[in-house]
Amino acid sequence: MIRLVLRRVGLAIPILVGVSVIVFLLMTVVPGSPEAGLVPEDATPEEREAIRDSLGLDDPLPLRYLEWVGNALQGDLGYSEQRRREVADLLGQAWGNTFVLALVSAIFGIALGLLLGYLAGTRRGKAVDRLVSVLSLGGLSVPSFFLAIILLAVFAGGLQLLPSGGADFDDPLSAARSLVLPVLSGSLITMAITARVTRAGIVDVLGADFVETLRAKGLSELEVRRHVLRNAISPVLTTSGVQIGALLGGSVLVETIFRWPGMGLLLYNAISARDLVVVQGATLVIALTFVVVNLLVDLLQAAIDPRVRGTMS
Amino acid sequence: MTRPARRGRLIPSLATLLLAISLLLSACGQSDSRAGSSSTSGGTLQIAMSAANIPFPSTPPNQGYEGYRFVGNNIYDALTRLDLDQADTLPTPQPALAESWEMADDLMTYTFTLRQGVTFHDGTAFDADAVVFQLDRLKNPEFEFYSQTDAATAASATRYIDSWEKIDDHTVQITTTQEYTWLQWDLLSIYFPSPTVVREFGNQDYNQHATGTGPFRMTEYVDGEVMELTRYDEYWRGPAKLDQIILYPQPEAASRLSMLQSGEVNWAEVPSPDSMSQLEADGYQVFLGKYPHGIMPRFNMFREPFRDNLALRQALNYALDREGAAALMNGAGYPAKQWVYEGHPAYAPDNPGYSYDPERAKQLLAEAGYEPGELTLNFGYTTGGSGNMFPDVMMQKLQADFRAIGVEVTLTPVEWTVLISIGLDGLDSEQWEDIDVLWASPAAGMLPTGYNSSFMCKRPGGQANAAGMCDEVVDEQLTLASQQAEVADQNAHLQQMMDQAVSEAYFLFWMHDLNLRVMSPDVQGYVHPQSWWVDFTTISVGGDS
Amino acid sequence: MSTTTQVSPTHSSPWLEPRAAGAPEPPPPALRVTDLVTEFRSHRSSLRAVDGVSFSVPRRQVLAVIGESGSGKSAMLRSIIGINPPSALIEGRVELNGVDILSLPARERRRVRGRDISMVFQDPLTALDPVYTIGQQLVETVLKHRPGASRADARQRSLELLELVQIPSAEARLRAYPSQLSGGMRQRVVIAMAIAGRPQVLLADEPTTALDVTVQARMIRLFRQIQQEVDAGLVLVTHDLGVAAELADEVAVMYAGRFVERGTAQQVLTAPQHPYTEGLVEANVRAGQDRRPRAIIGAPPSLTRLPAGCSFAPRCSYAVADCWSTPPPVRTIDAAGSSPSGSSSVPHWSRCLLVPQQ
Repeated sequence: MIRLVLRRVGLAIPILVGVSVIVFLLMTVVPGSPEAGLVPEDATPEEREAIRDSLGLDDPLPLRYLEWVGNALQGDLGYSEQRRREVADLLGQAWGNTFVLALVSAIFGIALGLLLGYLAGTRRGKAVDRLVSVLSLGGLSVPSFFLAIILLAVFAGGLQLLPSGGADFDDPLSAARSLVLPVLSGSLITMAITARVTRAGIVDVLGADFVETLRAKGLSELEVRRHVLRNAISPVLTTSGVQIGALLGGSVLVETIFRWPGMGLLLYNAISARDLVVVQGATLVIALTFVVVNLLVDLLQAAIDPRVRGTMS
Repeated sequence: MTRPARRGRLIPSLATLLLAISLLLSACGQSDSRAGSSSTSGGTLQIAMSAANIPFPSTPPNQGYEGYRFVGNNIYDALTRLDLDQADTLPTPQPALAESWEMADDLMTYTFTLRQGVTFHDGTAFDADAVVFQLDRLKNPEFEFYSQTDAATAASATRYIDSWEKIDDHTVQITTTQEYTWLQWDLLSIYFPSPTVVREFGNQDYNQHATGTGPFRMTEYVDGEVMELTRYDEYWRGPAKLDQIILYPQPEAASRLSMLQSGEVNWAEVPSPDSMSQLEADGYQVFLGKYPHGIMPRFNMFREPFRDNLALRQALNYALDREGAAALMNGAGYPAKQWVYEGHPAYAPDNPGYSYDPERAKQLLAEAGYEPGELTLNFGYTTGGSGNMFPDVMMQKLQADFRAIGVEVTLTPVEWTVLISIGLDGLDSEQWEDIDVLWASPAAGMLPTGYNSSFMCKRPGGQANAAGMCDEVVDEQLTLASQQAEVADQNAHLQQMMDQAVSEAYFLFWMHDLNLRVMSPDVQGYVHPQSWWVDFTTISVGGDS
Repeated sequence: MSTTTQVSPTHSSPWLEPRAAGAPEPPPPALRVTDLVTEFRSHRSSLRAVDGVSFSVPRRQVLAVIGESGSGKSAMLRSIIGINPPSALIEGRVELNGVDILSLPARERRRVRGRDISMVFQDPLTALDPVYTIGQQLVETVLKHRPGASRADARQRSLELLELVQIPSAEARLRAYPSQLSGGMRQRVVIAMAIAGRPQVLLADEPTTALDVTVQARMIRLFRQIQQEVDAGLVLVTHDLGVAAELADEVAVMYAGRFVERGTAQQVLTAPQHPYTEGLVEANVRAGQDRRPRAIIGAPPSLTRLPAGCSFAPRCSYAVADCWSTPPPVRTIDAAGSSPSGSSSVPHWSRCLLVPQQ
């Protein structure tokens, strides 16, 4: 198990390097200048040059990249002139916000998805199954920002039941209230995907021969389903890992609509402002998050499913 | 509305479930910790800004004029200020931290008498040293606290300043680089932070400790989330009425609307125009009014087809159905005849400007040498960014209008940052030379100092001439205007400049913004000025309720 | 119906130790199935997979049911133990020790399952839950049928079961996952699980088909041994006549949901009286002689549209006109004529019009 972790961490290094190089290159290739937001529209070439110089924008590309890597390795992710803050500071705040939202969204979406998928899978062809398939199809096709705006209009604007946004962690109640709408809209896709994968897994496993063995053993339907669920959970974990990773990357639209300044918004704004240091830092954190989440999911999967263990070691 | 889920029915519909959860949560009480935290007379004004982030409380702020409006003018003062407490005329510079000033006959030497007894929010006194400190910070690269970023952002306001000098504790002398009578306009945007605070925290950490002399002090600032401004009782113009102003960034119009309707804010910037009538019916105060802001795209004058082709430029101006476009945005815009609106000091009164006349447009197109269908224009525009009105609707309408006279338009949407970059690079740069027409959303005529970047060919300092417009008459009149001691003379020259620019159809004179802004009924004392800026000291919330 | 057959309690099979003469009164049959019908209904059509099957099996006896795939053998076993899908409609009686388990409430029926009657499935590779260890699955089974037992007891019992089915280093196997065992080992585990409750009746659905040929023989021996050990009756479904010959006391031939021939293993396999059985035996013999087996011409009929007369008629080379129109009667074969030993009181019968009436 330790070897596995080490190997994965080792594998993560080329991934992180690759991601940061690609992001770096993309950011220097896209049109639009990083200093555009820092100078007035009638800036003189000298004024522009001065700020480009202070941002180090005219240094050779490899040098700029290596400098960034060197500093990053020493734990210094740089200072964003556009945001007037330390990048690490920005990332900490955004990641914290996103983490709370992602965690609750993931738990809610995956739990609900599991429940729905389980109900649908075990009641195949029944009304519940059809309802769930409509719901999950809806969840996959309705854009989350559309749902977000509808929820906002109904529950915040119309009924005035819930706050329209903001990450308000003053007390548990207000935190819970401010989480409801973003979680509902952010977890929709997770819910839908989990429900679908769970349903497919359950249907698949229910058709497996060993289920007959279990029934012939005299197990109750509930006991049989415990077996079924544990067998069906593996693909659910895989997709959950991807979903959690994506949730931890932050959703620009949900974060914008609900004023939830997390990673998605940070990254989006940084890209818009061509704020290279923040983009680099944020991608690094997001990539790292993905690696860690997937590692955790794999470990969990190995703990649950011996077949996976075989393929991993 | 919902039935309790019966046993045996395992899953109620999702909608019921969601509803149940929200009812459960809302049942626990609705108190918003921020709302109504203060019960004294002035109340709390909570604002949903259209900016994507809280503007920096730096000197100057970022996020364009929205930053000046909500953050800059509230925390800071400048030597001059605009009279924003009236809606009748275009606000002009008034004494602020400078009690008075004198311009020498050379039209270059200004002597400012500073107001006495003004203190910063940290209790230190505002004086000549504070003025020199800030000008050093923005103009003197040798200065210990020189801020490269602030200097860059403030560059257009400090461009004509040549030198500055403390005469005594309450007198400062500033000289300009050339004959220049608009220094008091430039000084509007040069805010003064407490030198003590800058020294203590340095430029990089200053934002978290922003301290000025303005009517409100910053009492909470969470980057990206919220800023709380609290009335400064020692304010030199007398304390503001409001207890607090709370700013939330929200670039999404639908969300701003929800925030207003749910009572989380009592002021929402630019909600969707579709919601206007409903909001009015619900008792909200909906404000619309002309102010110096419009969509005035620029023709690429570096090359064909617009260079030396007045008829074509005019044809396109006549082809625009501005009324139709304004209707598409429910009247949140006002058709433009010239670059500034009628009644603006720079409006050329004898020039009829442009109206919708497709027949004339077709005729002019033929005169310009183009058969219908022969010309395809590449139009670069931005899809977002605050202060750009409603680009998608407007561009679709424009495409249809132009097609009606036989001109095709290729839409090239770009990010706001890219549009700004194009402006800096110029349409003659290799990267952007394919663009024929470029979207522009100038603060058209808010400050006379702003004409430079849109109108002038050879500019002081040699800024990029984004669209390649070059007209001797325009340059001459603009320069003259900036060198007149009398405001009336300045305006006369500006009108001649405008007359020339309109006749030569250097722009697509398209749409004035009407500055749509909505407030809840309990906001009182608000004046909708002809400006991007607002005077918050006159406002109160919920006085009699 | 007149097809019910009584199995003689004193019958002895070649591999059973002969009982002393004058043995005590024979026990009642462990399993008695009467007029079992299994019908799968959908809104479109209904399909009779099992169409009125009756038989009984005493303890320590083996009934082999042979036939092609799709003849209803598996559905029959599943109906007996009660694990058919909910869409299956089951009629008739299935008596265990005289109690009709079909009429029991679901809860009690489940208690019977695995304890009094259990089943071994065709494919050991898929018959075990892959994500639980062998030990977990065995312990679960043991605990199910001995609710009072402690986990340690159950584990001990599991170990004994594994030893009973001759699994080497059983202790270590308990911690293994199914995927870590060979097919033969897994089948032993399945058998161990099936006998965990000491059932009176074992059902086996082609228990050797999926196994390697070399393992098959050993598995058959194990089966015989285990069955004797636990003293259970065995219903063995197979299409391998060799297995049937080696294990079975009696053989029933199933075609289109019905038994078409029934008798002692020797009677049926050496002197088949039904053209279908004849075809099966022929195909098997030729296969044994390493020649291309001669398959029976045609395919089993669709159970949704059975012919009016004999369901085998369309494939039968002996068929006469009456076969197409008249349901074939059950004809008992002259014992003297067909059974060389003559010792059996099991009537050998065939459901064929061509068998001469006695």
